[in-house]
Amino acid sequence: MAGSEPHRIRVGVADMAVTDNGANLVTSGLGSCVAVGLHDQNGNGGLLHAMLPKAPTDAVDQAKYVDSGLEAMKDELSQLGANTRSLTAKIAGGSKMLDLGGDDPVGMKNVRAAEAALERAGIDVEGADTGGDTGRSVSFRPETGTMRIEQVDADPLKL
Amino acid sequence: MRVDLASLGTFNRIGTAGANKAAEALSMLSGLETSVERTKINFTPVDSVEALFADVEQAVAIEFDGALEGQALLVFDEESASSVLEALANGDSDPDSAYLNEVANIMTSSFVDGWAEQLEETIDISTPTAVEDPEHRVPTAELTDFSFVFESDVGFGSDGHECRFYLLPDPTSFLEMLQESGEESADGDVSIRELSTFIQLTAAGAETVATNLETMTGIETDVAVTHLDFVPITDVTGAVDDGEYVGTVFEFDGTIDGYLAVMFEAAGASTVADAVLPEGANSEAMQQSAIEELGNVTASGFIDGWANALDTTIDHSVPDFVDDMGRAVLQSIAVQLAREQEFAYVFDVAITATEPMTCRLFAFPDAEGFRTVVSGLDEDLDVTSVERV
Repeated sequence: MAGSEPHRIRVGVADMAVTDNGANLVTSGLGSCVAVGLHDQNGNGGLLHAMLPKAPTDAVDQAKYVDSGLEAMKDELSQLGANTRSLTAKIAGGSKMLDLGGDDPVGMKNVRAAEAALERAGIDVEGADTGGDTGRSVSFRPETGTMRIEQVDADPLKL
Repeated sequence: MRVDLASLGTFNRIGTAGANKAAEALSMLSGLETSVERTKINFTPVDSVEALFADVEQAVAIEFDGALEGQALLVFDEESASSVLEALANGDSDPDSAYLNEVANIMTSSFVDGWAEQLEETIDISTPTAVEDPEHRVPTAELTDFSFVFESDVGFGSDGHECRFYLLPDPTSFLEMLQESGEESADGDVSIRELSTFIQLTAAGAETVATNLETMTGIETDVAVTHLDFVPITDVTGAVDDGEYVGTVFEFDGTIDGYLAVMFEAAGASTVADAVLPEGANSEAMQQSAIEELGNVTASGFIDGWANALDTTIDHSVPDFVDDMGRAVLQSIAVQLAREQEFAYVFDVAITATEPMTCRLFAFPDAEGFRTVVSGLDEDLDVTSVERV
Protein backbone atom coordinates (compact mmCIF):
# COMPACT_ATOMS: atom_id res chain seq x y z
CA MET A 1 0.00 0.00 0.00
CA ALA A 2 1.29 3.42 -0.86
CA GLY A 3 0.09 7.00 -0.98
CA SER A 4 -0.91 10.01 1.04
CA GLU A 5 -4.71 9.89 1.35
CA PRO A 6 -5.24 8.65 4.89
CA HIS A 7 -8.95 8.13 5.10
CA ARG A 8 -9.42 4.77 3.38
CA ILE A 9 -7.03 1.89 2.80
CA ARG A 10 -8.10 -1.05 0.70
CA VAL A 11 -7.11 -4.49 1.90
CA GLY A 12 -7.06 -7.13 -0.84
CA VAL A 13 -7.40 -10.88 -0.65
CA ALA A 14 -4.51 -12.45 1.29
CA ASP A 15 -3.54 -8.98 2.35
CA MET A 16 -3.38 -6.86 5.49
CA ALA A 17 -2.83 -3.26 6.47
CA VAL A 18 -2.11 -1.45 9.71
CA THR A 19 -2.58 2.22 10.51
CA ASP A 20 -2.16 4.75 13.28
CA ASN A 21 -3.56 7.74 11.39
CA GLY A 22 -7.29 7.31 11.58
CA ALA A 23 -7.75 5.62 8.22
CA ASN A 24 -10.60 3.24 7.58
CA LEU A 25 -9.49 -0.22 6.47
CA VAL A 26 -11.84 -1.82 3.96
CA THR A 27 -12.07 -5.17 2.26
CA SER A 28 -14.76 -6.54 -0.03
CA GLY A 29 -16.13 -9.80 -1.35
CA LEU A 30 -15.53 -11.96 1.70
CA GLY A 31 -16.89 -15.43 1.05
CA SER A 32 -15.23 -18.25 2.94
CA CYS A 33 -12.25 -16.01 3.70
CA VAL A 34 -12.12 -14.37 7.09
CA ALA A 35 -11.40 -10.76 8.06
CA VAL A 36 -9.90 -9.98 11.45
CA GLY A 37 -9.63 -6.43 12.75
CA LEU A 38 -7.32 -5.63 15.68
CA HIS A 39 -7.08 -2.34 17.55
CA ASP A 40 -5.72 -0.88 20.77
CA GLN A 41 -7.16 1.89 22.94
CA ASN A 42 -4.88 4.46 21.27
CA GLY A 43 -6.42 4.08 17.82
CA ASN A 44 -3.77 1.86 16.29
CA GLY A 45 -5.16 -1.03 14.35
CA GLY A 46 -5.03 -3.38 11.43
CA LEU A 47 -7.18 -5.54 9.20
CA LEU A 48 -6.29 -8.98 7.84
CA HIS A 49 -8.11 -10.74 4.97
CA ALA A 50 -6.96 -14.37 5.05
CA MET A 51 -7.93 -17.25 2.74
CA LEU A 52 -6.86 -20.42 4.53
CA PRO A 53 -6.56 -21.44 8.20
CA LYS A 54 -3.02 -22.71 8.59
CA ALA A 55 0.24 -21.73 6.90
CA PRO A 56 2.49 -24.46 5.53
CA THR A 57 6.07 -24.38 6.77
CA ASP A 58 7.33 -22.88 3.50
CA ALA A 59 4.66 -20.18 3.25
CA VAL A 60 5.83 -17.00 1.55
CA ASP A 61 2.61 -15.04 1.65
CA GLN A 62 1.89 -14.68 5.38
CA ALA A 63 -1.37 -12.78 5.00
CA LYS A 64 -2.84 -15.62 2.97
CA TYR A 65 -3.19 -17.70 6.15
CA VAL A 66 -5.04 -16.93 9.35
CA ASP A 67 -2.32 -18.07 11.76
CA SER A 68 0.71 -16.50 10.10
CA GLY A 69 -1.29 -13.44 9.04
CA LEU A 70 -2.37 -12.65 12.59
CA GLU A 71 1.17 -13.05 13.87
CA ALA A 72 2.49 -10.79 11.13
CA MET A 73 -0.19 -8.18 11.78
CA LYS A 74 0.53 -8.20 15.51
CA ASP A 75 4.24 -7.71 14.76
CA GLU A 76 3.49 -4.81 12.42
CA LEU A 77 1.24 -3.22 15.03
CA SER A 78 3.99 -3.59 17.58
CA GLN A 79 6.44 -1.88 15.22
CA LEU A 80 3.87 0.86 14.72
CA GLY A 81 3.92 1.49 18.47
CA ALA A 82 0.61 -0.16 19.30
CA ASN A 83 0.01 -1.43 22.80
CA THR A 84 -0.19 -5.12 21.89
CA ARG A 85 -1.32 -6.03 25.42
CA SER A 86 -4.51 -4.06 25.00
CA LEU A 87 -5.44 -5.35 21.56
CA THR A 88 -8.97 -6.53 20.97
CA ALA A 89 -10.41 -8.22 17.90
CA LYS A 90 -13.47 -8.31 15.66
CA ILE A 91 -14.04 -11.15 13.19
CA ALA A 92 -16.20 -11.41 10.06
CA GLY A 93 -16.57 -13.86 7.20
CA GLY A 94 -16.11 -17.60 6.97
CA SER A 95 -19.40 -18.23 5.21
CA LYS A 96 -20.43 -21.33 3.29
CA MET A 97 -21.80 -19.80 0.11
CA LEU A 98 -21.38 -22.91 -2.00
CA ASP A 99 -21.94 -26.57 -1.38
CA LEU A 100 -18.21 -27.25 -1.49
CA GLY A 101 -15.86 -28.75 1.06
CA GLY A 102 -18.21 -31.36 2.52
CA ASP A 103 -19.15 -31.29 6.20
CA ASP A 104 -16.14 -29.24 7.26
CA PRO A 105 -16.05 -26.25 4.90
CA VAL A 106 -13.04 -23.96 4.74
CA GLY A 107 -15.02 -20.97 5.97
CA MET A 108 -15.64 -22.39 9.43
CA LYS A 109 -12.08 -23.72 9.60
CA ASN A 110 -10.90 -20.16 9.00
CA VAL A 111 -13.11 -18.84 11.79
CA ARG A 112 -11.95 -21.52 14.24
CA ALA A 113 -8.32 -20.84 13.28
CA ALA A 114 -8.81 -17.13 13.96
CA GLU A 115 -10.45 -17.76 17.33
CA ALA A 116 -7.71 -20.18 18.34
CA ALA A 117 -4.87 -17.89 17.22
CA LEU A 118 -6.40 -14.94 19.05
CA GLU A 119 -6.85 -16.98 22.22
CA ARG A 120 -3.22 -18.12 22.06
CA ALA A 121 -2.17 -14.48 21.68
CA GLY A 122 -4.34 -13.42 24.62
CA ILE A 123 -6.48 -11.15 22.45
CA ASP A 124 -10.17 -10.89 23.33
CA VAL A 125 -12.75 -11.16 20.59
CA GLU A 126 -15.21 -8.33 21.17
CA GLY A 127 -17.51 -9.04 18.26
CA ALA A 128 -18.02 -11.52 15.44
CA ASP A 129 -20.28 -12.01 12.46
CA THR A 130 -19.24 -15.32 10.96
CA GLY A 131 -20.61 -18.33 9.13
CA GLY A 132 -23.91 -18.24 7.29
CA ASP A 133 -24.17 -18.48 3.54
CA THR A 134 -23.74 -14.93 2.28
CA GLY A 135 -20.88 -12.72 1.17
CA ARG A 136 -19.72 -9.74 3.20
CA SER A 137 -17.86 -6.48 2.76
CA VAL A 138 -16.09 -5.06 5.76
CA SER A 139 -14.98 -1.61 6.88
CA PHE A 140 -12.88 -1.44 10.05
CA ARG A 141 -12.14 1.75 11.93
CA PRO A 142 -9.14 1.30 14.22
CA GLU A 143 -9.76 4.61 15.98
CA THR A 144 -12.92 3.19 17.55
CA GLY A 145 -12.59 -0.52 16.86
CA THR A 146 -15.92 -0.44 14.99
CA MET A 147 -16.39 -3.02 12.27
CA ARG A 148 -19.16 -2.34 9.75
CA ILE A 149 -20.36 -5.30 7.71
CA GLU A 150 -22.43 -5.11 4.55
CA GLN A 151 -24.31 -7.93 2.87
CA VAL A 152 -26.58 -8.13 -0.15
CA ASP A 153 -30.25 -7.80 0.88
CA ALA A 154 -29.51 -7.00 4.53
CA ASP A 155 -29.05 -3.87 6.59
CA PRO A 156 -25.44 -3.06 7.47
CA LEU A 157 -24.31 -4.50 10.77
CA LYS A 158 -22.04 -2.74 13.25
CA LEU A 159 -19.85 -4.68 15.65
CA MET B 1 7.82 -25.42 -29.53
CA ARG B 2 7.15 -26.61 -25.99
CA VAL B 3 6.91 -24.47 -22.88
CA ASP B 4 6.94 -25.27 -19.19
CA LEU B 5 3.67 -23.97 -17.78
CA ALA B 6 5.25 -23.82 -14.33
CA SER B 7 7.57 -21.07 -15.56
CA LEU B 8 4.52 -18.86 -16.10
CA GLY B 9 4.40 -18.51 -12.32
CA THR B 10 7.84 -16.93 -12.37
CA PHE B 11 6.78 -14.50 -15.07
CA ASN B 12 3.62 -13.64 -13.20
CA ARG B 13 5.66 -12.83 -10.10
CA ILE B 14 7.94 -10.61 -12.18
CA GLY B 15 4.85 -8.94 -13.62
CA THR B 16 3.40 -8.39 -10.15
CA ALA B 17 6.66 -6.88 -8.89
CA GLY B 18 6.74 -4.62 -11.95
CA ALA B 19 3.14 -3.57 -11.40
CA ASN B 20 3.86 -2.69 -7.77
CA LYS B 21 6.75 -0.50 -8.89
CA ALA B 22 4.55 1.12 -11.51
CA ALA B 23 1.84 1.78 -8.91
CA GLU B 24 4.37 3.31 -6.52
CA ALA B 25 5.63 5.51 -9.34
CA LEU B 26 2.08 6.71 -10.02
CA SER B 27 1.63 7.42 -6.33
CA MET B 28 4.87 9.40 -6.15
CA LEU B 29 3.94 11.36 -9.25
CA SER B 30 0.33 12.13 -8.38
CA GLY B 31 0.21 11.98 -4.59
CA LEU B 32 -2.70 9.56 -4.85
CA GLU B 33 -2.98 6.36 -2.90
CA THR B 34 -2.45 3.46 -5.33
CA SER B 35 -2.79 -0.30 -5.14
CA VAL B 36 -2.31 -3.14 -7.60
CA GLU B 37 -5.65 -4.90 -7.82
CA ARG B 38 -4.30 -7.85 -9.76
CA THR B 39 -1.78 -8.95 -12.34
CA LYS B 40 -2.53 -11.76 -14.72
CA ILE B 41 -1.20 -13.36 -17.85
CA ASN B 42 -3.85 -13.47 -20.47
CA PHE B 43 -3.85 -15.91 -23.39
CA THR B 44 -6.24 -14.44 -25.88
CA PRO B 45 -7.20 -15.88 -29.26
CA VAL B 46 -5.95 -13.44 -31.83
CA ASP B 47 -9.42 -12.74 -33.13
CA SER B 48 -10.63 -11.83 -29.60
CA VAL B 49 -7.86 -9.41 -28.73
CA GLU B 50 -9.77 -6.43 -30.07
CA ALA B 51 -12.49 -7.06 -27.49
CA LEU B 52 -9.99 -6.58 -24.64
CA PHE B 53 -9.69 -2.94 -25.60
CA ALA B 54 -13.25 -2.37 -26.78
CA ASP B 55 -14.20 0.06 -24.00
CA VAL B 56 -10.92 1.92 -23.80
CA GLU B 57 -11.38 5.68 -23.85
CA GLN B 58 -7.83 6.94 -23.30
CA ALA B 59 -4.69 5.02 -24.16
CA VAL B 60 -0.99 5.74 -24.27
CA ALA B 61 1.44 3.37 -25.97
CA ILE B 62 5.14 2.88 -25.39
CA GLU B 63 7.34 0.47 -27.32
CA PHE B 64 10.17 -1.39 -25.67
CA ASP B 65 13.16 -3.23 -26.97
CA GLY B 66 16.14 -5.16 -25.68
CA ALA B 67 15.85 -8.12 -23.32
CA LEU B 68 12.11 -7.94 -23.87
CA GLU B 69 10.47 -6.70 -27.06
CA GLY B 70 6.96 -5.43 -27.55
CA GLN B 71 4.85 -2.60 -26.30
CA ALA B 72 3.04 -1.34 -23.25
CA LEU B 73 -0.40 0.23 -23.21
CA LEU B 74 -1.73 2.29 -20.33
CA VAL B 75 -5.49 2.70 -20.59
CA PHE B 76 -8.04 4.75 -18.66
CA ASP B 77 -11.73 5.44 -18.84
CA GLU B 78 -12.57 9.14 -19.09
CA GLU B 79 -13.39 9.62 -15.40
CA SER B 80 -10.23 7.92 -14.19
CA ALA B 81 -8.11 9.86 -16.69
CA SER B 82 -9.66 13.14 -15.48
CA SER B 83 -9.07 12.17 -11.88
CA VAL B 84 -5.37 11.49 -12.34
CA LEU B 85 -4.94 14.57 -14.55
CA GLU B 86 -6.52 16.77 -11.89
CA ALA B 87 -4.20 15.34 -9.27
CA LEU B 88 -1.22 16.02 -11.51
CA ALA B 89 -2.35 19.51 -12.45
CA ASN B 90 -2.71 20.50 -8.81
CA GLY B 91 -6.26 21.73 -9.10
CA ASP B 92 -6.00 23.23 -12.60
CA SER B 93 -9.54 23.07 -14.00
CA ASP B 94 -8.34 22.30 -17.54
CA PRO B 95 -5.34 19.98 -17.19
CA ASP B 96 -3.26 19.12 -20.23
CA SER B 97 -4.04 15.54 -21.34
CA ALA B 98 -0.39 15.18 -22.37
CA TYR B 99 0.30 14.61 -18.65
CA LEU B 100 -1.00 11.10 -19.25
CA ASN B 101 2.02 10.50 -21.46
CA GLU B 102 4.23 11.32 -18.51
CA VAL B 103 2.23 8.92 -16.33
CA ALA B 104 2.67 6.19 -18.93
CA ASN B 105 6.35 6.97 -19.23
CA ILE B 106 7.13 6.69 -15.56
CA MET B 107 4.87 3.67 -15.01
CA THR B 108 6.29 1.76 -17.99
CA SER B 109 9.81 2.64 -17.00
CA SER B 110 9.19 1.35 -13.46
CA PHE B 111 7.42 -1.74 -14.76
CA VAL B 112 10.12 -2.84 -17.18
CA ASP B 113 12.84 -2.12 -14.61
CA GLY B 114 11.56 -5.14 -12.73
CA TRP B 115 11.87 -7.28 -15.84
CA ALA B 116 15.31 -5.95 -16.67
CA GLU B 117 16.53 -6.73 -13.14
CA GLN B 118 15.19 -10.25 -13.35
CA LEU B 119 16.62 -10.86 -16.82
CA GLU B 120 19.87 -9.07 -15.92
CA GLU B 121 19.75 -7.22 -19.21
CA THR B 122 18.61 -3.79 -20.29
CA ILE B 123 15.25 -2.86 -21.78
CA ASP B 124 14.90 0.43 -23.65
CA ILE B 125 11.59 2.23 -23.95
CA SER B 126 10.35 4.69 -26.57
CA THR B 127 8.68 8.07 -26.18
CA PRO B 128 5.01 7.64 -25.17
CA THR B 129 2.31 8.43 -27.70
CA ALA B 130 -1.44 8.75 -27.27
CA VAL B 131 -3.24 6.16 -29.41
CA GLU B 132 -6.80 5.88 -30.57
CA ASP B 133 -6.67 2.32 -31.86
CA PRO B 134 -5.17 0.21 -29.05
CA GLU B 135 -7.02 -2.83 -30.34
CA HIS B 136 -4.94 -2.77 -33.52
CA ARG B 137 -1.61 -2.59 -31.80
CA VAL B 138 -1.44 -6.12 -30.49
CA PRO B 139 1.31 -8.17 -32.08
CA THR B 140 0.54 -11.54 -33.63
CA ALA B 141 2.82 -14.45 -34.19
CA GLU B 142 3.18 -17.23 -36.70
CA LEU B 143 3.65 -19.81 -34.00
CA THR B 144 0.32 -19.49 -32.33
CA ASP B 145 -3.24 -18.33 -32.67
CA PHE B 146 -3.17 -16.49 -29.37
CA SER B 147 -1.33 -13.58 -27.85
CA PHE B 148 0.22 -13.26 -24.41
CA VAL B 149 -1.00 -10.17 -22.64
CA PHE B 150 0.18 -9.18 -19.15
CA GLU B 151 -2.52 -7.12 -17.50
CA SER B 152 -2.20 -5.19 -14.24
CA ASP B 153 -5.11 -3.28 -12.80
CA VAL B 154 -3.95 -0.36 -10.67
CA GLY B 155 -6.49 1.38 -8.45
CA PHE B 156 -5.88 4.93 -7.28
CA GLY B 157 -7.52 7.60 -5.16
CA SER B 158 -10.53 6.93 -2.98
CA ASP B 159 -13.30 6.98 -5.62
CA GLY B 160 -12.68 3.59 -7.19
CA HIS B 161 -10.72 4.90 -10.17
CA GLU B 162 -8.28 2.64 -11.91
CA CYS B 163 -6.03 2.31 -14.90
CA ARG B 164 -5.00 -0.86 -16.66
CA PHE B 165 -1.47 -1.49 -17.68
CA TYR B 166 -0.95 -3.97 -20.50
CA LEU B 167 2.38 -5.42 -21.45
CA LEU B 168 2.22 -6.96 -24.90
CA PRO B 169 5.45 -8.83 -25.55
CA ASP B 170 6.30 -9.93 -29.05
CA PRO B 171 4.87 -13.48 -28.88
CA THR B 172 7.72 -15.24 -30.67
CA SER B 173 10.52 -13.78 -28.57
CA PHE B 174 8.44 -14.19 -25.41
CA LEU B 175 7.83 -17.86 -26.19
CA GLU B 176 11.55 -18.34 -26.69
CA MET B 177 12.14 -16.70 -23.33
CA LEU B 178 9.56 -18.97 -21.71
CA GLN B 179 11.19 -21.98 -23.27
CA GLU B 180 14.65 -20.97 -22.07
CA SER B 181 13.43 -20.32 -18.54
CA GLY B 182 11.66 -23.68 -18.26
CA GLU B 183 13.08 -26.22 -15.91
CA GLU B 184 14.80 -29.38 -17.13
CA SER B 185 11.88 -31.51 -15.99
CA ALA B 186 9.28 -31.98 -18.71
CA ASP B 187 6.43 -32.56 -16.24
CA GLY B 188 4.79 -29.23 -16.93
CA ASP B 189 5.60 -29.09 -20.62
CA VAL B 190 2.90 -28.49 -23.18
CA SER B 191 3.28 -27.70 -26.83
CA ILE B 192 2.23 -24.24 -27.87
CA ARG B 193 0.10 -25.79 -30.61
CA GLU B 194 -1.73 -27.93 -28.03
CA LEU B 195 -2.34 -24.94 -25.81
CA SER B 196 -3.52 -22.92 -28.76
CA THR B 197 -5.90 -25.71 -29.78
CA PHE B 198 -7.31 -25.91 -26.25
CA ILE B 199 -7.96 -22.18 -26.18
CA GLN B 200 -9.66 -22.35 -29.58
CA LEU B 201 -11.69 -25.33 -28.40
CA THR B 202 -12.85 -23.39 -25.37
CA ALA B 203 -13.66 -20.34 -27.46
CA ALA B 204 -15.82 -22.57 -29.66
CA GLY B 205 -17.49 -23.86 -26.46
CA ALA B 206 -18.30 -20.29 -25.48
CA GLU B 207 -19.97 -19.76 -28.85
CA THR B 208 -22.09 -22.85 -28.22
CA VAL B 209 -23.08 -21.52 -24.82
CA ALA B 210 -24.14 -18.21 -26.35
CA THR B 211 -26.19 -20.03 -28.99
CA ASN B 212 -27.86 -22.17 -26.32
CA LEU B 213 -28.71 -19.08 -24.27
CA GLU B 214 -30.14 -17.44 -27.35
CA THR B 215 -32.26 -20.51 -28.16
CA MET B 216 -33.63 -20.76 -24.63
CA THR B 217 -34.34 -17.09 -24.07
CA GLY B 218 -35.02 -15.79 -27.56
CA ILE B 219 -32.62 -12.94 -26.76
CA GLU B 220 -29.95 -12.35 -29.37
CA THR B 221 -26.52 -12.96 -27.82
CA ASP B 222 -22.90 -12.41 -28.69
CA VAL B 223 -19.66 -13.65 -27.14
CA ALA B 224 -17.85 -10.45 -26.24
CA VAL B 225 -14.70 -11.85 -24.68
CA THR B 226 -13.14 -15.26 -24.31
CA HIS B 227 -9.72 -15.65 -22.85
CA LEU B 228 -7.65 -17.85 -20.61
CA ASP B 229 -6.03 -16.10 -17.67
CA PHE B 230 -3.14 -17.35 -15.61
CA VAL B 231 -3.67 -15.51 -12.37
CA PRO B 232 -2.46 -15.68 -8.76
CA ILE B 233 -5.12 -17.47 -6.74
CA THR B 234 -5.39 -14.42 -4.51
CA ASP B 235 -6.40 -12.25 -7.48
CA VAL B 236 -9.20 -14.45 -8.87
CA THR B 237 -11.94 -12.27 -7.38
CA GLY B 238 -10.85 -9.25 -9.42
CA ALA B 239 -12.47 -10.76 -12.52
CA VAL B 240 -15.78 -9.19 -11.53
CA ASP B 241 -16.81 -5.86 -10.08
CA ASP B 242 -18.12 -5.57 -6.53
CA GLY B 243 -21.76 -5.80 -7.63
CA GLU B 244 -24.42 -8.45 -7.12
CA TYR B 245 -24.62 -11.46 -9.42
CA VAL B 246 -27.21 -14.20 -9.79
CA GLY B 247 -26.26 -17.59 -11.15
CA THR B 248 -25.04 -21.09 -10.54
CA VAL B 249 -21.80 -22.81 -9.59
CA PHE B 250 -20.88 -26.38 -10.57
CA GLU B 251 -18.13 -28.73 -9.57
CA PHE B 252 -16.90 -30.96 -12.39
CA ASP B 253 -14.77 -34.06 -12.28
CA GLY B 254 -13.36 -36.64 -14.64
CA THR B 255 -10.22 -36.37 -16.76
CA ILE B 256 -10.17 -32.82 -15.57
CA ASP B 257 -11.56 -31.52 -12.26
CA GLY B 258 -12.57 -28.03 -11.33
CA TYR B 259 -15.36 -25.52 -10.96
CA LEU B 260 -17.62 -23.61 -13.31
CA ALA B 261 -19.57 -20.47 -12.48
CA VAL B 262 -22.32 -19.05 -14.69
CA MET B 263 -23.29 -15.64 -13.37
CA PHE B 264 -25.61 -12.93 -14.60
CA GLU B 265 -25.31 -9.34 -13.46
CA ALA B 266 -28.24 -8.96 -11.07
CA ALA B 267 -30.04 -6.38 -13.20
CA GLY B 268 -30.11 -8.72 -16.20
CA ALA B 269 -30.88 -11.96 -14.33
CA SER B 270 -34.59 -11.33 -14.15
CA THR B 271 -34.59 -10.43 -17.85
CA VAL B 272 -33.26 -13.86 -18.83
CA ALA B 273 -35.36 -15.69 -16.26
CA ASP B 274 -38.52 -13.96 -17.50
CA ALA B 275 -37.57 -14.80 -21.08
CA VAL B 276 -37.45 -18.50 -20.22
CA LEU B 277 -40.55 -18.64 -18.03
CA PRO B 278 -44.15 -18.64 -19.28
CA GLU B 279 -45.91 -15.29 -18.94
CA GLY B 280 -47.07 -14.67 -15.38
CA ALA B 281 -44.77 -17.32 -13.89
CA ASN B 282 -42.43 -15.00 -12.09
CA SER B 283 -42.27 -16.18 -8.48
CA GLU B 284 -38.86 -16.15 -6.82
CA ALA B 285 -38.73 -19.95 -6.84
CA MET B 286 -39.52 -20.09 -10.54
CA GLN B 287 -36.91 -17.47 -11.34
CA GLN B 288 -34.33 -19.48 -9.40
CA SER B 289 -35.36 -22.63 -11.23
CA ALA B 290 -34.98 -20.86 -14.59
CA ILE B 291 -31.51 -19.59 -13.70
CA GLU B 292 -30.53 -23.10 -12.57
CA GLU B 293 -31.76 -24.60 -15.83
CA LEU B 294 -29.87 -22.01 -17.86
CA GLY B 295 -26.79 -22.85 -15.80
CA ASN B 296 -27.25 -26.57 -16.42
CA VAL B 297 -27.46 -26.15 -20.18
CA THR B 298 -24.52 -23.76 -20.17
CA ALA B 299 -22.33 -26.06 -18.08
CA SER B 300 -23.15 -29.06 -20.26
CA GLY B 301 -22.49 -27.19 -23.50
CA PHE B 302 -19.15 -25.93 -22.25
CA ILE B 303 -17.80 -29.01 -20.52
CA ASP B 304 -19.02 -31.50 -23.12
CA GLY B 305 -16.82 -29.75 -25.68
CA TRP B 306 -13.76 -30.61 -23.62
CA ALA B 307 -14.96 -34.16 -22.96
CA ASN B 308 -15.81 -34.92 -26.57
CA ALA B 309 -12.54 -33.50 -27.88
CA LEU B 310 -10.72 -35.80 -25.47
CA ASP B 311 -13.09 -38.70 -26.10
CA THR B 312 -13.77 -38.99 -22.38
CA THR B 313 -16.47 -38.05 -19.89
CA ILE B 314 -16.49 -35.13 -17.49
CA ASP B 315 -19.36 -35.08 -15.01
CA HIS B 316 -20.70 -32.01 -13.34
CA SER B 317 -22.64 -31.56 -10.11
CA VAL B 318 -26.15 -30.22 -9.72
CA PRO B 319 -26.28 -26.41 -9.86
CA ASP B 320 -25.52 -24.49 -6.68
CA PHE B 321 -27.65 -21.33 -6.87
CA VAL B 322 -26.09 -18.02 -5.85
CA ASP B 323 -27.51 -14.52 -5.52
CA ASP B 324 -24.81 -12.50 -3.85
CA MET B 325 -21.64 -10.43 -4.25
CA GLY B 326 -19.88 -11.76 -7.35
CA ARG B 327 -16.48 -11.40 -5.75
CA ALA B 328 -17.52 -13.42 -2.72
CA VAL B 329 -18.73 -16.22 -5.01
CA LEU B 330 -15.46 -16.33 -6.95
CA GLN B 331 -13.53 -16.10 -3.70
CA SER B 332 -15.27 -19.17 -2.34
CA ILE B 333 -14.14 -21.08 -5.43
CA ALA B 334 -10.62 -19.65 -5.21
CA VAL B 335 -10.31 -20.80 -1.61
CA GLN B 336 -11.05 -24.37 -2.69
CA LEU B 337 -8.30 -24.19 -5.32
CA ALA B 338 -5.89 -22.39 -2.97
CA ARG B 339 -5.52 -25.50 -0.87
CA GLU B 340 -3.54 -27.12 -3.71
CA GLN B 341 -2.25 -24.42 -6.03
CA GLU B 342 -0.79 -20.94 -6.02
CA PHE B 343 -2.03 -19.90 -9.45
CA ALA B 344 -5.29 -20.58 -11.26
CA TYR B 345 -6.12 -21.10 -14.90
CA VAL B 346 -9.35 -19.23 -15.48
CA PHE B 347 -11.40 -19.28 -18.66
CA ASP B 348 -13.26 -15.99 -18.67
CA VAL B 349 -16.18 -15.66 -21.06
CA ALA B 350 -18.46 -12.65 -21.31
CA ILE B 351 -21.69 -13.01 -23.26
CA THR B 352 -23.61 -9.86 -24.06
CA ALA B 353 -27.05 -9.49 -25.59
CA THR B 354 -29.37 -7.09 -27.35
CA GLU B 355 -31.38 -6.93 -24.13
CA PRO B 356 -29.48 -5.39 -21.20
CA MET B 357 -27.96 -8.64 -19.97
CA THR B 358 -24.40 -9.82 -19.40
CA CYS B 359 -23.58 -13.41 -18.63
CA ARG B 360 -20.15 -14.19 -17.20
CA LEU B 361 -18.89 -17.73 -17.37
CA PHE B 362 -15.78 -18.76 -15.47
CA ALA B 363 -14.19 -22.19 -15.67
CA PHE B 364 -11.47 -23.09 -13.18
CA PRO B 365 -9.78 -26.34 -14.20
CA ASP B 366 -7.39 -27.75 -11.61
CA ALA B 367 -3.79 -27.09 -12.62
CA GLU B 368 -2.72 -30.72 -12.85
CA GLY B 369 -5.76 -31.75 -14.86
CA PHE B 370 -5.31 -28.78 -17.13
CA ARG B 371 -1.78 -29.81 -18.06
CA THR B 372 -2.89 -33.41 -18.60
CA VAL B 373 -5.77 -32.41 -20.81
CA VAL B 374 -3.82 -29.92 -22.89
CA SER B 375 -1.09 -32.51 -23.43
CA GLY B 376 -3.67 -35.10 -24.44
CA LEU B 377 -5.22 -32.99 -27.19
CA ASP B 378 -4.67 -33.66 -30.85
CA GLU B 379 -2.96 -30.40 -31.78
CA ASP B 380 -4.42 -30.60 -35.30
CA LEU B 381 -7.96 -31.02 -33.95
CA ASP B 382 -10.62 -29.21 -35.97
CA VAL B 383 -12.42 -27.53 -33.07
CA THR B 384 -15.50 -26.87 -35.17
CA SER B 385 -16.02 -30.62 -35.59
CA VAL B 386 -16.38 -31.25 -31.83
CA GLU B 387 -19.91 -32.20 -30.83
CA ARG B 388 -21.66 -30.26 -28.07
CA VAL B 389 -25.06 -30.30 -26.48
